[in-house]
Amino acid sequence: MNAGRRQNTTPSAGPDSRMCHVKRFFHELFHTFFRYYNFPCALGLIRIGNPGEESPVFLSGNYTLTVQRLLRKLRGIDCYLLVANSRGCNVWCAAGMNEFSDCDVVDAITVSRLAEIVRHRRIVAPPCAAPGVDVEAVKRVTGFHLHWGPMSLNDLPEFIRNDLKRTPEMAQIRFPLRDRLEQAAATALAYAMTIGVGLIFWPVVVGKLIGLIAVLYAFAFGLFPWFPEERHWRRFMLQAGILLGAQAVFGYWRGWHAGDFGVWCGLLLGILVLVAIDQCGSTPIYKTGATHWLTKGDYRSLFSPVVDPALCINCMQCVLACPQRVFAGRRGAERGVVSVRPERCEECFACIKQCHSRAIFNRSGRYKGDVKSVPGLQAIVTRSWAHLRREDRWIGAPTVIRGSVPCVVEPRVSEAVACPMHTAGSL
Amino acid sequence: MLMYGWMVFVEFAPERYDWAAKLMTGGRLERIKDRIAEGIAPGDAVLDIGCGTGTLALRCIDRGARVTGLDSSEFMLRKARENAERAGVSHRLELVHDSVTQLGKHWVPETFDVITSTMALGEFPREFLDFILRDCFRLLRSGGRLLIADEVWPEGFWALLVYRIGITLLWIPQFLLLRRAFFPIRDLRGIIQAAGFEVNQVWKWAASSLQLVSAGKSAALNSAGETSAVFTA
Repeated sequence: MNAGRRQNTTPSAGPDSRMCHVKRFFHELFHTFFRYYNFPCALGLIRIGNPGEESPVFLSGNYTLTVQRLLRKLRGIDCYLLVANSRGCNVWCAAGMNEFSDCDVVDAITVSRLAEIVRHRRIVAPPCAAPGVDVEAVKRVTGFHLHWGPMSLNDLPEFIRNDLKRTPEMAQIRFPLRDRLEQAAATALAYAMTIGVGLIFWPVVVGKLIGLIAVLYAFAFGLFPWFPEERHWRRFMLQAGILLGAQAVFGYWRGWHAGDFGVWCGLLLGILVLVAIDQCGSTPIYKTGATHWLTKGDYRSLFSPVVDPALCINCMQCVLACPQRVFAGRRGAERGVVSVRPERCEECFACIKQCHSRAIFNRSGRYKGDVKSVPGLQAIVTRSWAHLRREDRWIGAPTVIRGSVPCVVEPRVSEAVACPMHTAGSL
Repeated sequence: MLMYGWMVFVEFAPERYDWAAKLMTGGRLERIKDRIAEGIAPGDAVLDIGCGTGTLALRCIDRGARVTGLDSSEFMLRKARENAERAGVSHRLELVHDSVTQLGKHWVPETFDVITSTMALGEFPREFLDFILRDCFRLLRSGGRLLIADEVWPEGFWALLVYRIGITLLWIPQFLLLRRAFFPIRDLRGIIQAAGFEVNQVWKWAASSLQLVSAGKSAALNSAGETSAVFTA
């Protein structure tokens, strides 16, 4: 009877999970093109299948497209989906913008009375929420522990089969073809809407321009991993070379005048600069400022983390939350976390958000500052790291995966010290 | 670059919250806040849920009230603190950073004379609102008042149609300015009544899509309120 009463308080599965194929296609199409805007869906606990007291609980924000896809992915699995308030925004942006915080997770847990519904105290959370959701705060208030699940919801079925453990690949953020094309489409539409007014006055020119923008975005985002890593603008140059060559061939075929050719070359280069700046500032895998790309010609972040071994309490939260495997654990005589690939950092500040001992310093002293979810961020990332120069020795250190977290490969210092030199030599 | 530029622009939405909210509600939000403050008596203990930058809190302090503001955003609370300091009334404004479902943790029952909230509760569905308002009912003194102003789904076919067209057209401008979607509440009055309050008056603006509901907790209603709370659970 109790269970029946609770059933009533469960919201109907937000957007209809049993859409027909045609409706689902148009739903996906609409949300793909309007990916940049907020579309909230119902909050609360959704029951999928026939979950019991031991069934896993998955956390999500209330962005309609994500919840819709999650419901499809989790179909046939008995579990709960806890939809917390991200103001209808995707979890990654909402977390960084301080719109999806531990407060929202606490709200969802409290109102849905999750503690009475399940016996365990474990929620599988999207690691994209790590820049905003403080794991410790949620645990302190509700007793629930957030475990970071896979980065992509496509990995969820495998993650569940794997006994709710993630492989190293699942913890790494990726930018697969589908996501890239979705971003290209959404961005091209945003451009079209911005300059679309011009269609009334100059329909042909603006129409061609919108077409060119769509093609260039599809080209640059579609072939994203096929171009070399951006260093000294080499990626940009290569793209520009290919496209200008293609345009020259096209222009020759269509018999363009030199003037036309010049104008279209200028436009093409201009749009390509816009694409390059979009790629350095708003993809899931790179984040840096436009000025940095224009002056330095690469997509590396300004923030460059380094860990103070004196402050680190070895809680591993930064290693678990980092989407780019910047950190690795030390599992030898000394235990702690070190920063092994700071150049891969994409400045999401998940590590800083999760680190309560403030052990993470910034080697550059600079940061982009679009993450608003860390109180006192400026003070933390502009502290002097002069005493940590020696920690640079870990940069580039080889790592292995132990117990699903990356660990530094290092000689067993303790044994080497315990064993006197001459004995060691005679072995 | 365009997307990058828009993102940078949208990123600063909280900075321009005050004037952008004024713009998007056509100045009505200011009038609603004035009306709420009008009913505040000197010495009242006021709780402002989702106090934001403290614009309503400062108005209430001007009327002689002691105000407690609750918000889940530390950025907004910092703004509120700055605004209060600038007005020289920071000693009469207490700010609490917590989620809205944790009200019972901070205050004992019957603490406040007035509980108010403007444009903050729309984000939550019925289940959440029932939970929050039940907490409010407990925290409010007998004879105290609840004043909730928010976006509401208008009643009547034509008003609803006009409203739907309006929010479809304003969806993107609203997002760019406030980084926020529209969150109209369905049956705000009914939700407040279900929590045990007695609705005294409803003011409506913009084809009844903006409403201010004034409700009271009468001493006699106390037990009835509890029954009703159990019923909605």
